[in-house]
Amino acid sequence: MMFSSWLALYVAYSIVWLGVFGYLTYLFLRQRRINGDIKALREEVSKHGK
Amino acid sequence: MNLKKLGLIVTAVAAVLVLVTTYLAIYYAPLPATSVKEAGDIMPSVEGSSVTVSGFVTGLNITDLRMKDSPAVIEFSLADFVDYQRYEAAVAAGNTSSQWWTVRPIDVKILSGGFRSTSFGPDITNDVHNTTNISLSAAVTAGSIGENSQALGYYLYTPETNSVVISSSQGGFSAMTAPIAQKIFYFHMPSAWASYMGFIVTLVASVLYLRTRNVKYDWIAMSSAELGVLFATIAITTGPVWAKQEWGVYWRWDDTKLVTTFIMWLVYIGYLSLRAAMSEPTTRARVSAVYGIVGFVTMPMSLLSSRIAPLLNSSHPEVIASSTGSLSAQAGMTVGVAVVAFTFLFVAMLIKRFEIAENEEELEELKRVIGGEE
Amino acid sequence: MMAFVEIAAKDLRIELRSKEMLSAMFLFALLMVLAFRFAFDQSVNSGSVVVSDLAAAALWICFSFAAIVGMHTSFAKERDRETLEGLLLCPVDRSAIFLGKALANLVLVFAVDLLSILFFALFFSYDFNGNSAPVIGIAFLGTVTLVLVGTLVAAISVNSRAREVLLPILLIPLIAFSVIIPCVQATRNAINGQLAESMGEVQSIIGFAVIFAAVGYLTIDYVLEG
Repeated sequence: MMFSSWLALYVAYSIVWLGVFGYLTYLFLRQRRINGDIKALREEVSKHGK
Repeated sequence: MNLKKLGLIVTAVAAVLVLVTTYLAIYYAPLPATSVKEAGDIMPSVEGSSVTVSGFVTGLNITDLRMKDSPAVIEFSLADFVDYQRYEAAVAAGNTSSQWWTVRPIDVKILSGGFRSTSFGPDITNDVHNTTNISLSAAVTAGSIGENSQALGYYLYTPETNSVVISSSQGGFSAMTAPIAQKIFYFHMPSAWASYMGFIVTLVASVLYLRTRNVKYDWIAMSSAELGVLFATIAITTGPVWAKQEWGVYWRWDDTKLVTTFIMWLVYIGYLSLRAAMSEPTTRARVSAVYGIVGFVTMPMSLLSSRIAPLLNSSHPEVIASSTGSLSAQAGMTVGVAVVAFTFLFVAMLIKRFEIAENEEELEELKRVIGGEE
Repeated sequence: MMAFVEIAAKDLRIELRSKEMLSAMFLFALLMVLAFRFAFDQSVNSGSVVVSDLAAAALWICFSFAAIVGMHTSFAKERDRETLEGLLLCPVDRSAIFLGKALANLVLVFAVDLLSILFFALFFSYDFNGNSAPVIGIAFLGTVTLVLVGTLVAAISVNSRAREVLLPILLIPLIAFSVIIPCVQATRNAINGQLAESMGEVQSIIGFAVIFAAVGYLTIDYVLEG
């Protein structure tokens, strides 16, 4: 498949941006989930004594 | 919380710098001097590889047209530069040979059929005139490869699939490949740099972990290996996109740089899957630290392979501190900003990833507490 | 200092009694060569694949995979039979365990190498252009590097779940450049009687053997701990 030089540029830049931002989004979502879990567990602990 | 603040600052700087890099790469960095290639240089033996030549038409010479059953011959030169006005101005000023104005048109000779297309679009023959922007593709066919071949030229075909021959002179034609794709470099090389940095940090943190048994070093090693794989993935996917334009093929297995980088990438994928396959934290930290040290052998091989290109075989460009060709000042500055930007980006992401590892540990601890109560 | 020879002798003695690993590797090599024979039947007969090229590639694929099959067990067996603790309690250096295991693996893998070469010669009726001695020499040299890195990675992967799958994943990238690429090249040259042209490859194989031996020697303490 042939594509033009400009298209190649867009494709490559998209890979960079998607890679970086995709990973960052994944990190933020993961952190939010973990922090949510921590909060829930903390509440659980305080509810059931100790 | 200090780390969090630092993380925010670094993230902000990284974001700004990456944006600046993008701006510089697209608008500021000049197009490179057109890469003129001798016939022997381009894909000498890769059958099926192809190259696209695009540009505007100069020096049009139509010798024979519209004769039924005889080959139409359109000769023209194709200059690999998109902006015809700027080119003309440069010609008028006698300035075509300055650093990035070098325009060396290639001769295109359309033999049979030419652009006369019956079923596609308008009759392009009438449209070929000076300043027309066209794009031609050349493919290496079996007839022109091999050690003793005379490199008869690349068979060109237009998007309309008519056969054309580019510069029928034997062995000595030159073709230019798209310089625009060169701008990929401003992100490709910093990504590779960030991945090397990631693997160095993994090595250092692994050694420190084995020395001190501080679990934080294990988190750093894991985080930076993950980031290294991310950036290496970016580097080895953007590379082929450029290579397709410049070399005509996505990948070359005879190129040491490409192969060693690919192997390095596989080794660190292995590192991550090794970690994923172990659940006991101290064993995981200890064992994966050793693999992080062993696997590091691949990193200098990848990093240095284009430096020792005469010994090994690599056509991967060697950019920094090279004796053969160096970048123009503007391009050099863009690369510099890009490298700094990706360094900040790497540090910012490392801090973020490290925070998550910390949080995960906290979560595990909580789970243990709850589990212990019951 | 000679403790590692004792450990290797112990492993080999066990192996000679049970013949578990040897028979598995033997059959594996036999079947691999057979698979190459079937897969390249047409190509070899029609001459589109030169046997000397195929020999170099096929032999090294056999060696590598047979080695992976064999080396996997060298630590896995100790762990499964819970003899690893006993071995670790021996009053010897951990690095002696590493070298001993590597030596035992070297003997076994090299034996299988020789068998593979024999099978290849039989199945393809090929005499390696009369250059079987240098081919065997390269096989030995490459196997040294292969077992040094393989033993270390086997010790690493034995700690994980899914260690059977993980060993090739961890090992193949490492041996791709240090063993397979230079050894195939050197073997091809050896078959064509141009071994002198492969001195660069031979040097790099030896160099990687030294690197992996050093890394293994230094880090095995941490792998076998606990």
